[in-house]
Amino acid sequence: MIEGALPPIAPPREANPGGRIVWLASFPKSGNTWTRILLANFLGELEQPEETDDPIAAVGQISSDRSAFDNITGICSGDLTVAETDLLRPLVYRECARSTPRAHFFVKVHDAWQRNRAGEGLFPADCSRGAILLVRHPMDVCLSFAFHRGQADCTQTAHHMSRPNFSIGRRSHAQIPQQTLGWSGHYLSWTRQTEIPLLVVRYEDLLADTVTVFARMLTFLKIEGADDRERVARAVELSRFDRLREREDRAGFRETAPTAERFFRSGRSGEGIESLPAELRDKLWHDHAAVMEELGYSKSGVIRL
Amino acid sequence: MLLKVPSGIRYLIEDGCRIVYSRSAEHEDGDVSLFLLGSAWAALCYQRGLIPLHASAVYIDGKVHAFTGRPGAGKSTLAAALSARGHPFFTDDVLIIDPARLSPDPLCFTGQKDLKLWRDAIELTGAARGVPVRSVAGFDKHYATPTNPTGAVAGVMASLVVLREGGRNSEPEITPIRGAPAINALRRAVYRPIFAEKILGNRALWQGLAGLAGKVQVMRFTRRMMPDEFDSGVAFMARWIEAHD
Repeated sequence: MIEGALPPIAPPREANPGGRIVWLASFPKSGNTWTRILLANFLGELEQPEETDDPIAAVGQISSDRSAFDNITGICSGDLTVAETDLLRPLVYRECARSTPRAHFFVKVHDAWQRNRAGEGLFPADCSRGAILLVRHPMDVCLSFAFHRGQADCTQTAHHMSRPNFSIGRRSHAQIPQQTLGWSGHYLSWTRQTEIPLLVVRYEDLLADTVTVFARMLTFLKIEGADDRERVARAVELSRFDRLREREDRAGFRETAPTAERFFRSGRSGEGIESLPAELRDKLWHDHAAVMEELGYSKSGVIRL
Repeated sequence: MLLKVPSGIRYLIEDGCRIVYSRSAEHEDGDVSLFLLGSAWAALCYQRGLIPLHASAVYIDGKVHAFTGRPGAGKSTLAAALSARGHPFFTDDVLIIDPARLSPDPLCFTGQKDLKLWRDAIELTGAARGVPVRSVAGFDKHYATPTNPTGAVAGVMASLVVLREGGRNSEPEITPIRGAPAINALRRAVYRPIFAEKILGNRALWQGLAGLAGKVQVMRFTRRMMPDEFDSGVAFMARWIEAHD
């Protein structure tokens, strides 16, 4: 639970077109992968090489990708502590930005914005174009994240969402552990940092009018073609949820947790409010009310648009 | 080449024959050997013109069947589990190729003889758990002794199997990778590729891999990775090895 008034939100800043990395930041199950697929389809970079098991590998990566870390540093991340890994992460991202042939390189980030023990931001501003912070009503996040973790009961997930030291990626071993700081902490870390230009996007808004909100992201990121509505609409059509589900059934998806039946579950908004027991809705409101109110989320699920 | 790891230990790797390390009093022997036998050893191999692959392997009657894949793909776990089913464990994490010794049969050499497994993989495979690989509290990756190791340090490389996770509706499947995709698969299997590029050079690397691709079966093993399907996946792989031995 956040005590007292929230610190002031960082003033808006324009994206830096000289930076190549676009950070797609979110707490898990907030529409991050869908956004990355939208971007890939918009840029025409969604060709899936037969040899990779990641349908969106062509367009970027995940900040916690162990392969990229190990290959760039020459050191096995699985043999490092989390703090040691964090010391090398800025180097890894700078090298990704330097070596990519693309003008923009999208990196999915579930980490909170943090500094490593050397005082350096994990996500270096000098190679960053900007960040999109995707947020979703925490009750929907709770339901979806519990499913992702293979749990029908959402109690433990709700508890994790309130833990400032909640990290993910420890069990799969395919990913570097990521410190989320909990649902509120994650949002506050990104919106209060002043190093990387940021646009906050609510999942509910993206779902309600995907073309308009996606175009807003493209405009913020100064990506060429952002005002081409037809092209934006085509990318949205190619990224329809039912298509992603069908693809996952056919070819699998690298980010599906071993415990989860599937990654792309429903994508619908409002399910958490409908399905979670009252005590969990109360808990989430109690623990996250300050941030929820800042985002226009209410306890009853009414979302201020 | 100077290798610096974040714990503060440094390794100077010279002339393909010497590794000098620098440590402080806080570093234990295990912290030194961990990176010496991994990344530093790989750099030494490249200085000698050898190509280490990121693979674990089993050994059957002089033939080596190796498994590669992304971190977390299950390379070590599969080799350990096959060992428990009677296919002797050959190497963990690193398998060394000598591009000068691919004919008449491609020879390969062991890297590390000790397994390194996360706790859940130890439980799955029945390997004997040893000490944690790092002497820091809560580090849940351990050295482990396979059920059925071989003392052999060299063998003829018969196959390299790329491990891949299948979709929800997929069935276990082993399919060949041929031609250029096979060479690309080998390229992705290269251990510490940044060292390969800087020490060996891209030309020598690709030549070595192309030579190897012509000599070994490169396969893709697709299976679901749910814990309750682990045994059936291992059995599937074991049958394939037995049929192709």
